[in-house]
Amino acid sequence: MKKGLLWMSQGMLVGLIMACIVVPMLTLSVSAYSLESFHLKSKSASFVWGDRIDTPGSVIRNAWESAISDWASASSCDFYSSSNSVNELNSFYESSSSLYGRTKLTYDITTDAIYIASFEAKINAGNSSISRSNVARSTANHEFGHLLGINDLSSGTAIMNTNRERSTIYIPQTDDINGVAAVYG
Amino acid sequence: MLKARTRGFFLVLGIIVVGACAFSFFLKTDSPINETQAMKIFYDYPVVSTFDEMAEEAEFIVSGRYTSLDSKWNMARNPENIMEEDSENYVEGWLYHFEIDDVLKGNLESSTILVNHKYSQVITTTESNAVVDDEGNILKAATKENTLSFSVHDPMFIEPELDSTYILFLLKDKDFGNYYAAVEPFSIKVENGIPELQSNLLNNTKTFSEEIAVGGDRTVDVLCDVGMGVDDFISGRSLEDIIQAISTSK
Ligand SMILES: [Zn+2]
Repeated sequence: MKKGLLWMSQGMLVGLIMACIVVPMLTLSVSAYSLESFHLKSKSASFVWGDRIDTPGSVIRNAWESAISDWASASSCDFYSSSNSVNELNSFYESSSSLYGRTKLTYDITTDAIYIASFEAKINAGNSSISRSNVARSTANHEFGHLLGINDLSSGTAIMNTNRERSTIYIPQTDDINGVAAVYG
Repeated sequence: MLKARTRGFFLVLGIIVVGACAFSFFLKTDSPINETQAMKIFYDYPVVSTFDEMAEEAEFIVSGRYTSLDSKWNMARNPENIMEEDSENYVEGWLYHFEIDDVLKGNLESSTILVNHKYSQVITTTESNAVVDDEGNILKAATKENTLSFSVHDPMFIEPELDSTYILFLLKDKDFGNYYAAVEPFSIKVENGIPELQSNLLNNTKTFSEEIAVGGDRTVDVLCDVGMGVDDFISGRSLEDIIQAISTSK
C-alpha cells in the first residue's frame, strides 16, 4: 500500500514535469508566427505615395502613416517616402467586395529568390467597413507584415491573423514583432 | 625633364580624363531589362472558420436559385465618382439573377436579386533596366521599359450552377443595389437535400498558382495567397439543422 502510494506520487511528479514542458509548447504553437520565404532586402525601405493618396488627410493615407510609425516603434523597421522609389503605397476602390487590402510583389526566382524586388500595397477604399475605427490601420499594418517576411495565420493574437477582429487588433502584436525579429535579427 | 609640379598636374589630369570616360560609359551602358519572372499577390479577405461567424457577418441570408448571368462589369470604380469606372484598373465581376425562395436573415422585399461574383482582375507591372539599391531607390534611371498587363483569376471564384439550390450569406452594395459575398466562404449548395459548403479554400488550401503567358514564349508565375484555408464546417449537418442555427443566430 505504502509502496503503491510512493509509485503514484512519483508518477504524478513525472506527469507534472511533462505537463510543464508540453502545455507551454502547445500554447506557443497556437499563436506562433510563420515566416514567408522572402522579405525586403533591407528593413529600411522606401516607397512613393500612389496617385490616389498623394495628398494627406484621407482615411487610407492616415492608415498608412499610422502603420509606418506603429512598425517603427515596434521594431527597427523603417518605411520612408522617397520620390524615386520603385515601391508604392496606394488605395483603390473596389465596390461590391469585402476585400480589405492587396499586396503585390515581384521577386527574381533565379538569383534573389529570398528578396522582394518591388512591391505595391493597396487598401480598398470601397470596402464598406474600411472607415470603421482602426480597420484601415489594421489592414496597413498587416500588409507591412507581409513585406517584412511574416506570413498569414488563421488564429491567435497577431496582426497576421486573417480572422482577427480588425477594430481591436490593429497594431503589430508580440507574436508579429518576434517574427520580424527572427527575419532581421 | 618636367618639373615635379608639372608631372603632378598631368597625372591628375590623366586620372580625371579616365574617370570621366568611365563615368560616361557607366551612364550610357544599356543593361538588359530585369524581366519579371515571379509575382505573389496577397489578398486580405475576411475568411471565417465557423458557421456561426459566417451567419454573423452576413446582413442577408437567402435560399434560392441562380437563374441566369445578367452581365459582366468593372468593379473598380473612380473614387471621385463611383458611378464611373476606374480608368486605370479593371476588376471583372459577374452579376447573376438569383430567385429567392426564402429570406432567412434580413429584410428583403424583392424576390429576385443580382448577386455579384468577382471573377478576375487585370494586373499591370512595369519592368525596366533601372538600377535599384537595397532600399528600393532608383540609382540609375531606366533607359528601357516594358509594361506587362495580364488577367489573373480571383482565387475565390466558383461558377455557380444555374437552377441548383443555394443558401447565400450576403452584404448589399448600397450604391449599386446588388448583393455580394459577406465573407469567405459565403455559399452552401443544397444537393438532394444535403448541404455542401462551396469554397476554393476547403481542405485548408490557401495558395493558388497560375502560370500566365505574357507574350512571346514568356510566362510569369503568379502565386495568389488568401492567408488561410478552411475546414468543411458544414459536412455532416442537415439542412434543418442549418436553418435552425440561422434563426437562432439572428
Ligand atoms: Zn495577408
